[in-house]
Amino acid sequence: MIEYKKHYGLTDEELAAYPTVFDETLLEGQVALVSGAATGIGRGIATLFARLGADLVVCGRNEERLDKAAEYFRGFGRKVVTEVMSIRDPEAVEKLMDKTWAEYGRLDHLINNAGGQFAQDAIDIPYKGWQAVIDTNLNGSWYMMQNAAKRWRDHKQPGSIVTITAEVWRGIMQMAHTTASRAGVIYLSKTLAVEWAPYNIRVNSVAPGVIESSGFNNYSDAGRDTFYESGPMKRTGHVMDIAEACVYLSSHSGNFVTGETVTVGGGMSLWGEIWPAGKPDYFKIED
Amino acid sequence: MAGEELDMSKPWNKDHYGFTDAELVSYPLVFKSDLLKGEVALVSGAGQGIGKGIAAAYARCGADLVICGRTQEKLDAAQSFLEQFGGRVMTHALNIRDPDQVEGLMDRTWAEFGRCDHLINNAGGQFPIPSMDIPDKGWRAVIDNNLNGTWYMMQRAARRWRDHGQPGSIVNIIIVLSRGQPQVAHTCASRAGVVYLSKSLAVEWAPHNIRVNCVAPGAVESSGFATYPEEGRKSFYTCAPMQRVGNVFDIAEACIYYSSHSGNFVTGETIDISGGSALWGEMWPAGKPDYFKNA
Repeated sequence: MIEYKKHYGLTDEELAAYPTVFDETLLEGQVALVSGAATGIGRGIATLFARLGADLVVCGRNEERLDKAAEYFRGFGRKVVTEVMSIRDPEAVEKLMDKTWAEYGRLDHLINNAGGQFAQDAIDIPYKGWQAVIDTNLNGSWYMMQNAAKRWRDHKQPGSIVTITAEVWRGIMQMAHTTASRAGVIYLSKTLAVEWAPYNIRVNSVAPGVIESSGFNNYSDAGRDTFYESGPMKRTGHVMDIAEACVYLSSHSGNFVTGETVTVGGGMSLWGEIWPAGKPDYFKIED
Repeated sequence: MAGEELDMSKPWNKDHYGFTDAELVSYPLVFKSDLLKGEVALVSGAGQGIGKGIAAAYARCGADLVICGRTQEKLDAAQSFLEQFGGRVMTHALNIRDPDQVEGLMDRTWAEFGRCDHLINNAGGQFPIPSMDIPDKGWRAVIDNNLNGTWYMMQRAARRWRDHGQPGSIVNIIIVLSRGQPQVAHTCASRAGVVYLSKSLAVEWAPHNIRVNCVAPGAVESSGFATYPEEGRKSFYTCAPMQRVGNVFDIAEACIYYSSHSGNFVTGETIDISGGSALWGEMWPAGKPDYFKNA
């Protein structure tokens, strides 16, 4: 049984006050769409874009949570459009994009943050669970990218896509489904970076390592314990580490960057290990 | 090339490559203007080109500077340009290939400022040449500069950070190398060495709060473009999906992203700033051989 024992990640007050490196007016007059913005990393990303002056479109599956998050984002003085939907449904994605252009006439930054996974040994992943993770993380991100890109092309507007993936470089044990889907997104992004360069569309990804957020509630104590010493820095990252990478890539600092993945994981792919479902005895080596 | 008359109507031939001093002053930056106030950045090879652009961006964000390079006159000129941003600028002429001179630079940096927050290893170079023709001396010079010189700088800075109990950040400027880089095999080898050196150090030096990352420029227009033959330079303007060159602030902003607190959880990483050149396109710094000209 998972214990919900504390608050993981930055509080709303901390998100509002956390120092950013960027100029406070950097994104004024621009529009950012953040999927999965109600909680966790997505909430942090949407907060930073709003703090830097961007108007928002936020989407997610749970209406109540999304409305509450939108109220919080509006506190930064920005316009916020909400859409309750699942990115797995291409028609719902069409509708989301139509609404975005109807409301704002533009979209500058698409942040594909929605996605998820559950910790489980690969051998036990059920068929439906596999399908769900691939459908959300890979297919859902793709519907969002293609539908935004079509509109950028048709309106002759430039665009930037940043998809939140994961630090997949050595694989991620006990999350084989998400590793496969995120690796798919990374190489999809490289492909699109070339195909869509003629339309002035840049496509990048940010690969978080272990970032403390409300998502930590979804793991067992045994799994979560491994998160805090998972990389050479022996600490977790903050959602704002991810948000700042997104702004770096999306704003004009990233003008000459496309097809890239910025890994924000404290060096986790170089040393250390996470076992989200708990470390199997086989891998316990005595020091 | 020397003696050749350049057709100045071609977009790849210019009187001046890269930003002018006026553009270095006015080109918009994404960062807060006081982001690096009270901090010190050491930029090698800062007398010209990408290094000068990096130094200008750090100065515009409020940092004090240590700039080094081989020619005192170039450093003096850069200093009087960089001082307009209000921070202190210390110059130190040296050759990074000489570990004793690197010791001297670091001693002076700590003597003057008592700290160094950001080490940007930008000094380095190469000359375009088919690998078959690289002379031994030229090979050794490039490895000695780009790999060994960068290493001396990293180790000497890291020892001081450790001894003073100070955190530190290193950013190494390399090149895009994931598909190799024909006609500059020496620099490709040296830069690949720096990438994997950086990954090793990112782990070893994490206990000392030292982060080590790399920025890999593709075709980024700077004064260095003038040193390439016309046929080579021509390829720079169409060598990536974006089919344009980048500017020195594209590089400088990546350096600041990594080395300021936005990069606090990033170490051992490399980012290409190249308009996607690793994915499509080709660069032939010495001119494209006939064999590779497909119909």
